Amino acid sequence: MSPQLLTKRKGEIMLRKKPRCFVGWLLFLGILFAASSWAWAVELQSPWKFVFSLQGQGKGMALPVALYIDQEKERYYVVDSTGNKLVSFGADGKYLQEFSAEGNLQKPYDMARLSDGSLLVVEKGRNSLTKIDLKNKKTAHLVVKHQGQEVFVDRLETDGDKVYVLDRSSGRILQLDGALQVAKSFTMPAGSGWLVDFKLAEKKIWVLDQKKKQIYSYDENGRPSPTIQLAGIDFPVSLAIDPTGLFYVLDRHRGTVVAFGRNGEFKYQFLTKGQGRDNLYFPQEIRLDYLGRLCVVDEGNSRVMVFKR
Amino acid sequence: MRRLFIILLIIGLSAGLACSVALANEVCYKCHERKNFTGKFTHGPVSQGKCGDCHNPHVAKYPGLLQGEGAELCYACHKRAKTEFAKGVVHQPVRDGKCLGCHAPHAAGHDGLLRKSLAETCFVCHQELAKPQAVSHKPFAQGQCTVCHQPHQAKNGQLLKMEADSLCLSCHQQAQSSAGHRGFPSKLSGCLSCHNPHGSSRKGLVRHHLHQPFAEKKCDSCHGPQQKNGSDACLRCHAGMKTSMMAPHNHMFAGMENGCILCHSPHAADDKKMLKTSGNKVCQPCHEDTFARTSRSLHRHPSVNSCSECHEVHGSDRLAMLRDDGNQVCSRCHLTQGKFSHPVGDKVLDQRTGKMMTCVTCHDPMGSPNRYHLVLSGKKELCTQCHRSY
Repeated sequence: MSPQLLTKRKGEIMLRKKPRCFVGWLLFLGILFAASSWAWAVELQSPWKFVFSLQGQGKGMALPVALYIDQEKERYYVVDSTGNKLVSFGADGKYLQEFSAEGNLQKPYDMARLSDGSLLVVEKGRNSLTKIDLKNKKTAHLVVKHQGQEVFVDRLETDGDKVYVLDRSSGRILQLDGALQVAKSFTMPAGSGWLVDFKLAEKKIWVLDQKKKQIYSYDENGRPSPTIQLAGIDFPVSLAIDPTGLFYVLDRHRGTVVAFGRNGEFKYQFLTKGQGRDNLYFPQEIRLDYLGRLCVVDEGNSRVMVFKR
Repeated sequence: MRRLFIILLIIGLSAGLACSVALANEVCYKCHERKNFTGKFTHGPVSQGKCGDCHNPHVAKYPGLLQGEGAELCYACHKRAKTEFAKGVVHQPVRDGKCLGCHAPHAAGHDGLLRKSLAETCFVCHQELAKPQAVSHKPFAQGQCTVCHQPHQAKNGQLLKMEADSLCLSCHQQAQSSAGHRGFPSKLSGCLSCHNPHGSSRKGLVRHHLHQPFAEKKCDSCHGPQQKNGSDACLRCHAGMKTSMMAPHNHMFAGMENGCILCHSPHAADDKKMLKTSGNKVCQPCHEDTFARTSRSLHRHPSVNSCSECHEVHGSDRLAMLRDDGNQVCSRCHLTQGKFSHPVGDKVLDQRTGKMMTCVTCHDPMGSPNRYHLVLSGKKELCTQCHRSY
């Protein structure tokens, strides 16, 4: 073989090898870029930015489990179940005061303010719906009954004069009248799992099924809409309905908020499990406030985190 | 012409086979005793002398000079199995890629290259089933586990071949008219709620412990038009359970059926607390995500007999329904760590949250990718969460 031919052949080899190598690197870099872009995109898709957290004063809150947002007074009320108190905050997150009904609250779990100014508190320790008349300093404990059976009141929502409660025992949403007697009951579809939260929005009741990872919805007359199946979550505990067309579902075990479209399609998720600033540790409830801010009751970290878009 | 081609093909294949067998004979069996690689049932590549299908004769990354690791090596030939075995409920050794837990790679005395007989193979792990029972289910007594179960994966829980009731009724068609059922329920269901499918101390494979009203045949105590529905049917007598469920976190399930019977059997059970299954299994159907996370975690708390050793089962004021605070619940077993370790307790506050430092501030017993099941890497990341100046 002549040297010229060898060189020529070597040149051929080089020419053939170089593009292969180049294409390989290009492909690798492309995949790397696509993967990192996707990761960034997923992160960036979350439009929520931390604003402040509600933490209380002194020793703070023990284990906050629920948040009530008073649009009229522009206040946040946090229910601290182990601290046996209700803690109020201003619209800017500033601590206002604590209320424990003179130390008589027993494991409060949820609350609402009625149109007459009185407070309605779910007390797990008494299994009661407790009405507190702040002006007259009177407290009435009511064990709700439905069809002769004791109702295990859990989550509480109000819409004007209407009061709705989730009954953990029967798995129904009950609508109560002014005397806190059951006026109507909303029954879930056959084969449903167990219910952990519900919200009122868009003239509907939206109910979260933890076991089946589904959302049911009913209009005021009890007519159901198609069930929405969720995927990619472990242990949903609470939901919020965004007027922009999203559901936010709180995953207690993963410590994350997952956004879904109205058909249950995954959109994005944010926050992770832990005890740092961008973490949630056994969170319990999620709500949107009157300014469209997302509020997450972070039970394990004893705070409520507020995010704005 | 065609016949000639077939003859040549057969000769060629035979020659190839003979050559490879000869290769094994000439090379491998010179050192490795042939008798260790032969049995009633022999793995195809072994009988064909294709030792090189699995082993590299010179050098390999894996022990035994294997070409690959775990199940991946098996799936190189058993390609369909790889996709099939990933569907539905998967048997733990399959999920862990431990084919050799049940199968011998070269030769065995049992079909399917099982190391032992079918039942003996199962009993290696399922030791609790090996205990002799006064009454045994016939297929179980005959060691025919695969009459009801699939060994690798199945669509149904407990690796059952079909949904439990359908499986029972596929043989026991007469059960519907059985005198013991007294015409209830109108359509038989939930057979395993009362019957143990393997064996029992009682006739008819009825589970050992009977709910008192059931034992006394006082069905009206719980059933009937005058009785309450849902959990109230149980809590009427078991008032103490009602009190324990009056807590922020509780297992009063908001389902349409009686939440109590998700965990407890109302008639007969093998457990004296009338739990449907033993140990941790009773929690798994609802806490599948936790079990899955623990299972796939590199570091996790050693297995305990029951979740209830650390968690309350009916209701708790504490996070994760722990029985006690995050220190007390651990120091019951970890006696020394409760006394000397990183300071913990109500006088030591986590700077991030202002809450008491406990064992679970740094450890996640349900599983973690970090050593000592730390929530973050113990080399630096975890400590600098609080000790920022370091």
